[in-house]
Amino acid sequence: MARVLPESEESTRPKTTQLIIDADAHHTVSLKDLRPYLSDYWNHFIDNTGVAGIPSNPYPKTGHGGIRTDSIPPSGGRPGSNYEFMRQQLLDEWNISYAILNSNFQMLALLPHTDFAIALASATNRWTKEHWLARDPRLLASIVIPAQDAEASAQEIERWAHDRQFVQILLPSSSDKPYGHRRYHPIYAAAANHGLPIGIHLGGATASTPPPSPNGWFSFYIEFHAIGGALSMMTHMASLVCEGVFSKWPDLQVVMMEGGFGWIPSVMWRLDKDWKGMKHEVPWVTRRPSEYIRAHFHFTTQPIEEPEDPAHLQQIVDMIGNDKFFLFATDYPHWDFDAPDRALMPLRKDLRPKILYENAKELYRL
Amino acid sequence: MNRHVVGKAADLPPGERLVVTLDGRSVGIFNVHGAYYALLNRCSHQGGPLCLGTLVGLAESNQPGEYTMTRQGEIIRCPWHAWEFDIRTGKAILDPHRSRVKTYQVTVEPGVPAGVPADVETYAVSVESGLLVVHM
Repeated sequence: MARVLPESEESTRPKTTQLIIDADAHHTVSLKDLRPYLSDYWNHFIDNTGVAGIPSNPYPKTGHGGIRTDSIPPSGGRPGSNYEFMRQQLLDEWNISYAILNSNFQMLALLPHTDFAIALASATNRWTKEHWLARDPRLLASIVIPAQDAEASAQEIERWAHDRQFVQILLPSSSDKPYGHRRYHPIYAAAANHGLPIGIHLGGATASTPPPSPNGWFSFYIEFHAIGGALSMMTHMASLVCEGVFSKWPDLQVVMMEGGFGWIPSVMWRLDKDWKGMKHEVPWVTRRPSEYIRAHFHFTTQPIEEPEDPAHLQQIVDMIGNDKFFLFATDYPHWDFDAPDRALMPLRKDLRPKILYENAKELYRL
Repeated sequence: MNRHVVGKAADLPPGERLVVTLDGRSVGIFNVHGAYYALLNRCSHQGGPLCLGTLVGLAESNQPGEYTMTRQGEIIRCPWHAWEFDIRTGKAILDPHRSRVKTYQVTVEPGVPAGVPADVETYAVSVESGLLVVHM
């Protein structure tokens, strides 16, 4: 294909000296990797059924299934599956101090077979610890949980809460109910008990999830990518506020990943407006919804919005009104990767180090 | 303008490419249907390695549900966000019906561009005594 002559010394130096924490990157696991971490029963289950993985998003994705086509490891394997190549192409190339790994198996939370999901979650976290976190102190991870069983999820959280490389809980944006619902509250209790944020990461719609829009299935991936994530995140944001999750756990933090953020001011305004007359319906919401949003939420910036007038991006950030709100993320190795040296350019200079590094350092206590 | 000999023309058959560093810049040299072209290996969007991307054609349509694909191999698609550029001219493929763009009182910084996407820098390539020469 492409013959690439050896790069000069200069081009292998990190592209920036700015300290960076990558709040969302992806290491790739396959079911095969997890077999040593599963019991005899589950290995038999896999052999008998021939199950090859967990259901995936049915939209054919640009970039060979949604990856940066230059992220395929030279020695083979899927993008994100090779630590040495990730170290070179992400951590070293971009001077990354920490990268938070969010597992591609997060969607086990939507498996109909709850016990299989519980086993897979435990196996995924143990595999992540041994094969990734133990190899590099720069690598952090979110705890994968079988969210369809909140009590089992709380137990899984207890197993990892002491480990400083596990820095938050991982929920996929796909779910059967909005995340403020009481069925999920044991998860928040466990997270709050240990001071761990709840991470809600974009998840696809699959054969075992509701459709990606309130009106069913889009035809095209572009529709799903542009607005599908945002639709879910809006739903969860309204739910978490209105169901009183932050009244119950005043220190709980939520990180929304890959849902975009341009829509946040509109949701703040609409919730505030309605709350003024409808507070009686949710009397535990004692402050304006926008205050809860500002105080309890963080958003990763990727894939950052790119308005035609770059000044509009700063205006959106100003409307949200919290310098600590945003966390930079690359989403390596996916195709909609944001480059650390370019993505934040429309924003105020003094905000960029906060978004690139300081906000995550403070939130995750690094 | 400097001349850079990058290899033998015969070693770069149609459909193939070569990526080299010249004067500190990464450059991709392509053979498109027997003619040679050179492009800066940096996408005008977020700086991705454009010349490592996929060679594609132009997808067009007269109406929803109809698809045509022409000009196969003449367009390079960035491996990151899939922006496409005409290899021969460096012109960005998207937004062919370029509308007038508002001008703004902003400082221009390298970064994600506003309005119409920038084209990618190209360099002349000549073949001299069987050798590929990039002029930049």
